[in-house]
Amino acid sequence: MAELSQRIDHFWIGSQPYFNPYLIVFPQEDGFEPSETHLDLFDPDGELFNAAKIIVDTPRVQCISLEPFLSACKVESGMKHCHLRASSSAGTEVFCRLHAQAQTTLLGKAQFLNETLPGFFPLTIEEGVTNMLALMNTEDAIGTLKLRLYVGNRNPEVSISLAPNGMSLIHLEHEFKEVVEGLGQKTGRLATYQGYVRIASKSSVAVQMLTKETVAQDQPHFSALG
Amino acid sequence: MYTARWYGFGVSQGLTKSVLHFFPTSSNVSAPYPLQCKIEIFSERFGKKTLILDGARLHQPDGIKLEAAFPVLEDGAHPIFGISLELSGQTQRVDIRASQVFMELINAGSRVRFRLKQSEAQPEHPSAPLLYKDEHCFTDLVIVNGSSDQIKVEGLTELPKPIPAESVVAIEPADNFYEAGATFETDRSMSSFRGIVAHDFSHPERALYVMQRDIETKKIQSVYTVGV
Repeated sequence: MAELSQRIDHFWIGSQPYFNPYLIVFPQEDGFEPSETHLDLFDPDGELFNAAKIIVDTPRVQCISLEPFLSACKVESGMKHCHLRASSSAGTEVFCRLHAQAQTTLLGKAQFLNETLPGFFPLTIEEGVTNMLALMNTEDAIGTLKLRLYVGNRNPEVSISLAPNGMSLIHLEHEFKEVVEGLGQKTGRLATYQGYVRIASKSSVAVQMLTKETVAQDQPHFSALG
Repeated sequence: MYTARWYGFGVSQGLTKSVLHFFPTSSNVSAPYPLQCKIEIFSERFGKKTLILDGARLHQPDGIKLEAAFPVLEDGAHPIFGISLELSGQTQRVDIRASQVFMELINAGSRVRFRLKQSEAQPEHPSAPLLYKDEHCFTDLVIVNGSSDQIKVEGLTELPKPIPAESVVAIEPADNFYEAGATFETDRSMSSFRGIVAHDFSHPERALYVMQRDIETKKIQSVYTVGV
């Protein structure tokens, strides 16, 4: 068995009623050795509600439904969602794939932030688009971070607190409601605005951005960015 | 003087347009110092085009519509092209390696964004591209070669010749590629997966991406950056 290294990845896992999540364990074929992946699943409030170990003894990709692991996950904001910490042996990669009604989305690794490495994402503010940030605290202590929105000449900032190992799914249009509503005031209708969000944290945080677009036939299209 | 460079790709075809976003930042300087910003696009078809962008400043996010900046893209007939962005601080003091760059592909109101690979960034763990296919979507492997040498990729019979210098290719593996992989039943359909051993890609001027497309419309649905 390959020794468990410090390869640790974090994912936001969305589940019912919007997504069916799958875990993809990808042992790299070069010099393959049987490997282990430890999964720790945390509720948004940081409580560990499940843990599992996946042993891969073949150099082939494994695809595992995460739904059976989520039965104890709390429902928050109308959805079961959680913070997954995956610790893998050297030479093994882990991805998550969210299956939604109209499409699948592969989730790459969440971006790590700390005091010297801020997070940054481009975003579009317009009708039919929802921009969300999944913020995951990777430490056993309370995490605090600041989100700054850049749109037009405005750059408002809010502070967010995360429970130890907890997570928060931030709807940026709600968090910066005053500024976003102000964008449409001149015309009475929200046009398309290019914006950016910057995330600064003194503690170690992992972040993924999720965008929901409803373009046609009310079928939402989700895209993820780590 | 610190210099940081990123490699990726764009699409300028029909309704699909490309926007490059960048956020110059520094871990050791908080003032909005001016920066030098150089953008290059390249392909076998049009060679290499260079643009020096004025006005870039530390800690100021910015974006550029590539069709507006590069006249060669105006005809919308470029299914894929390579891109590099280089940021340079004006003094040795400004360490800009924490800066970040994204590509956004816009098609009829829907957007796909992905992070560009920084050329000098050494991932803590080696990474290989994972390709997959099911009844709804398939993936292309995108190989960006910004270097002045050609690349020979092993294990992909769809690549009959080496990839030329300063070019980019998107390869859709044939169905039999997945026979050596693994297939699983999911809630949507049978899904096939297979990884590729990528020996030649630690070179700083090369980058790999996996691009997911709709199986019927071929529309790009998502892109992930290998090794980031």
